[in-house]
Amino acid sequence: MLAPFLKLGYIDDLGMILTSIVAGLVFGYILVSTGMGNSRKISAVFYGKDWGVMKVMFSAVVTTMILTYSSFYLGILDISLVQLTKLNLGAQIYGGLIFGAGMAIGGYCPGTAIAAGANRKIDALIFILGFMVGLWMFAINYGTISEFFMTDNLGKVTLSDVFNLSFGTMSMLVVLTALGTFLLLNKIEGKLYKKSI
Amino acid sequence: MINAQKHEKAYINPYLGGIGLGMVLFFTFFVAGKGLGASGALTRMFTFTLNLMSPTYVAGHDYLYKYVSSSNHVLYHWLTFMLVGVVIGSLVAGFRQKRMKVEMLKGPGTTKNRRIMTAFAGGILVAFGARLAGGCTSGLALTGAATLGAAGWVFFLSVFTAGLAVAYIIRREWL
Repeated sequence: MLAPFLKLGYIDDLGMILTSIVAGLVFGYILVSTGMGNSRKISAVFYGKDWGVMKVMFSAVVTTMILTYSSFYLGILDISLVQLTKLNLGAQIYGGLIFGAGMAIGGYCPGTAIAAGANRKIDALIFILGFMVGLWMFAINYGTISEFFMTDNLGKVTLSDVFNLSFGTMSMLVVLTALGTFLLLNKIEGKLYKKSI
Repeated sequence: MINAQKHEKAYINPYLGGIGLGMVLFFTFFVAGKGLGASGALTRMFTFTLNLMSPTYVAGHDYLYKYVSSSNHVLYHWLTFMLVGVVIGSLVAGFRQKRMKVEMLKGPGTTKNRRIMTAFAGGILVAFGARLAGGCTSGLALTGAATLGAAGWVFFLSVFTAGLAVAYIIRREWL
């Protein structure tokens, strides 16, 4: 196996730091260029007015998936060494619901708020301030929260495990679903809310 | 469609941007075995600042203490370096594409005061949700979805479901 370099010991901490900064640079550049530094554009996704966020997300997911699994099948990337968040249904469902509510209200998620804040958008800076307060609220309530939500850790589960399909078949299905979703989304863009109120 | 403002350069094609973002994510998988992320770095910066002000307070909270008690400095982390990159990348794009105007972005039917409240409240909820779920749109949804992680897909669907419902309730703020 050739990759991931860091986990196989081919690069050291300096390489890790440089990789991270370079990736962050392009990440930030793309967020701003695609309009993800604009809370109006982000929130518009929840009104079906502008699917920009979904288009960026899904084409990124599909691109990464194709590249990752092809290098896995070519035998150059050890996929078991690539980061995978553990499944914790309660935490991710409730966390996702709270996060989604916050995104719809605030118009940003953390990455886009940083990009917009760097572009001197006042609402993004206020959002980040609120974010800090939210972190504090989470930290002081962590004892109670962990009792309720952090208990059913299911480990590193992939969709292939859930549907009992091979990585290849599963990623093909995801790509097809994504393409279907794109076609559907383009048809109904701007038609969800007929008139602005 | 929400287009860029008149004084700005037009936004690039979202599919093209997405493909670029996907290539960056693959690059980090391939080189480091790690993905993109944003909320982790903010959490570390928050803990770092709090620890400067009152180390005893941080030591009294399990969740915060685990960040400062590791052998590496709380800011010495993959995601904090990435944050530096994101800020610089956003600045470069912002200047090149004339998006650096100081302004408060808000829906056409709302006031500045109400926008301050929605931005602040949204930030609180997003932080709480991200810490509960163990990541945000980039670290959990994007990175997780690309590796077919069930956690990422569950999170993504929950975010979108709540987003659609809550957006309807507060539509006066954005439409």
